[in-house]
Amino acid sequence: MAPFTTSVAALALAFAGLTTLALAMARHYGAIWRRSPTAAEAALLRALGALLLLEALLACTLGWGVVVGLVAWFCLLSVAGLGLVLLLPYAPQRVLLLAQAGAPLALLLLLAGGR
Amino acid sequence: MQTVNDGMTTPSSRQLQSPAPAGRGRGLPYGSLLSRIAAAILGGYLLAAASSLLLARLLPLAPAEAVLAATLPSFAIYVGAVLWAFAVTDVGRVWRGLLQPALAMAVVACLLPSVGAP
Amino acid sequence: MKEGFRHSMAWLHTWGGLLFGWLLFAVFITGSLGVFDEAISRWMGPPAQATAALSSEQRMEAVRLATRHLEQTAAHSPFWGIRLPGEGEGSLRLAWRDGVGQLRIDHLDPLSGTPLPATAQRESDGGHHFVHMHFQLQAGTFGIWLVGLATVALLVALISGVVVHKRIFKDFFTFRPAKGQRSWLDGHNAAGVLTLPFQLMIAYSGLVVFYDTYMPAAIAANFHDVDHYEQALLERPGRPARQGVAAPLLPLECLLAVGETRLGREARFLVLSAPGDAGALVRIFGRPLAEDGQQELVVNSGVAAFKGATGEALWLEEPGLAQGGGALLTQQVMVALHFVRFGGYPLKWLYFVSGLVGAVLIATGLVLFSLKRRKRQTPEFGAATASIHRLIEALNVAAVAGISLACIAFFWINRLLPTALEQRAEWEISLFFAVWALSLPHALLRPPLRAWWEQLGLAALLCLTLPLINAITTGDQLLAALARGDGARAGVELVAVAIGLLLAWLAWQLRRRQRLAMEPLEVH
Repeated sequence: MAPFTTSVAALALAFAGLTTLALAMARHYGAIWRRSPTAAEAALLRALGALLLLEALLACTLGWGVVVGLVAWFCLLSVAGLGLVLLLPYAPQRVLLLAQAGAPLALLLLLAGGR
Repeated sequence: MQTVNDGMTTPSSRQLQSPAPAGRGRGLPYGSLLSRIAAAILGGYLLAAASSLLLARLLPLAPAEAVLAATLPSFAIYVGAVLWAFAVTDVGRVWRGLLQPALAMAVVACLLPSVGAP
Repeated sequence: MKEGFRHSMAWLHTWGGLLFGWLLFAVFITGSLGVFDEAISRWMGPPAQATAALSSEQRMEAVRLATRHLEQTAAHSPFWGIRLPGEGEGSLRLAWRDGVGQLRIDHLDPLSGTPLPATAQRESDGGHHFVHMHFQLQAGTFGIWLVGLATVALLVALISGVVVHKRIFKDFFTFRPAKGQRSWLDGHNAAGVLTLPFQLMIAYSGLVVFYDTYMPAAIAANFHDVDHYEQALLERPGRPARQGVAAPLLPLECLLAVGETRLGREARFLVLSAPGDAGALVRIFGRPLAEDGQQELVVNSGVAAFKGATGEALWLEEPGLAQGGGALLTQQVMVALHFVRFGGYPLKWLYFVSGLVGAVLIATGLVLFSLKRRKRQTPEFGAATASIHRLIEALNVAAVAGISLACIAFFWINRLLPTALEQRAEWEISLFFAVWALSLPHALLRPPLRAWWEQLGLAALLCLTLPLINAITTGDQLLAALARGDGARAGVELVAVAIGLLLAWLAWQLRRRQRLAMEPLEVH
């Protein structure tokens, strides 16, 4: 698969995954929903976040193979995390929207490209 | 970073016991500080180099492979030695703690046969 | 004991980070630019020539012409370098050393062998300048050692930083803007924690690149010299020794043809050691293919080595294969991780951004050092405290804003220096250092906040107007470069403009702070 498609999809998935992991924390959950997450909600968000990060890894390995894909994944996580950290205090709602829209689009892109 | 002060003096035993910054108003112990920095940079390097010497002659690999495999981790030993040199209170102990094992490893390495071709 | 340990690590992080941070910022920013050294070299070099790829016969003819030229002008040079046209370079580029050891460069037309005038070349180190700054500060072996020491200090600072930062997981995604020192600390922590794997990897692999320089003990104790060690490691015969006996070279174009056959790909350049000597060594380097490094880390485009006088094949590094045992493979993977020749442009961009984040990590650390000391004046240097803090603040400005200014100024210098200038490439580098050096007195003369925004503002201005100065001096326009699909040239200018916008915003913020707070020493 073309590395460009892969990187865009993987970046969107990494961003969505990290956002989900951040929302499992009371501080960031509260910024959006004005209350603390229940233990079950937090656990669910953590599981979903981990799943999304694994999907990002999968996207990377589809594009570059396992070895280069792993390196790409680590770098993408850093960059996506920084984007998230910079956006989160300014526009938490939009971050949520971006993550919610980005992850399904990225999966579609992967399915379309990966056959 | 946010909770501790960072005075000019390297931690003396008194500082380690009390969080209050020491070393002010009674002259700065530059001597022991410089000694500690020298121990970290030079002593740490000697320890790392000696570890590569010993490991190169112990590893059951082809000569050049053993040399390379012994050299690659030596930088981690150097970094660890520098961190340790600043974590220990007594500067004398820092020097001893770095040079004694370095010397020991170098001596043992010299007693072992060279691995390379002549 | 636990608090004591954290206390010592905080001290080490603060002072080690400060002293080596000045150097490390330059290493990080030039290293990040160095990721795109080829694109920068293309932007800085002569205008792109639309050249068709040379056929095998044309390459042989070009090498024959090159040999003739070098035999006439560089018979006594210890080496010859011949770079064949390709990858956007239209000329045949010849390098050698003259009688006083100065590196000399000539460009020939690859088809006719006529020397091309220097004015058509805009001779420049290009992106290699940033690479050389990155690993040796343009200061030879001493520079390599200094960068190595700074790299160890970086690893120490990263690990001690993790120890000192108590709430890594609690504050993992936390950034609280517009809160003064708290925001700087949040930014510092986020930059460090989120890119920690990259920073550790890039620092350690950087040391491994020069492991035989930095840690030669085990090699020296077990091998006669580095050459013997390398022969054993790479399992290949030794380089022929210089005989001191003259012997004519075999026609190089024949060796080229054999070499290309053995490599199974086109040659990119040839290097001759001791040409004209009976011990002459000819190495033929393969040209990287587009698909190299798409799926593997270690990218090797191949080398074929021959004896120049007899044509005897000495060794062959086959393209694409990492040879040797586990330790060699480990070292090659680490080096490959540092040089990012794999994964194409996406990976280069990720490294560029991660490297710049490393620079931000250092810059925020330096700023924090001064911010803390503005808040509570601790007499840590006795009576000299105030002036030492002032000096540190100025060094921070020069180390961060000054080098940024010098880097973008290097692009301007490249366009403004006359193409006919003797030693033009050296002049470019000298002027780069002059700009960096001047940033320090400026930072000392101005109030700190003012020095910050003036230097950053000037850097922003130079970034934003880079397409303009290029259009004026060369007549080539950004849009035209985009239209003809010259991504390298257009990319350099687009990135410069983007960084310029960021720097302009930063400078504007700092200027506003300075205006707001009548007290010029108070950053927010």
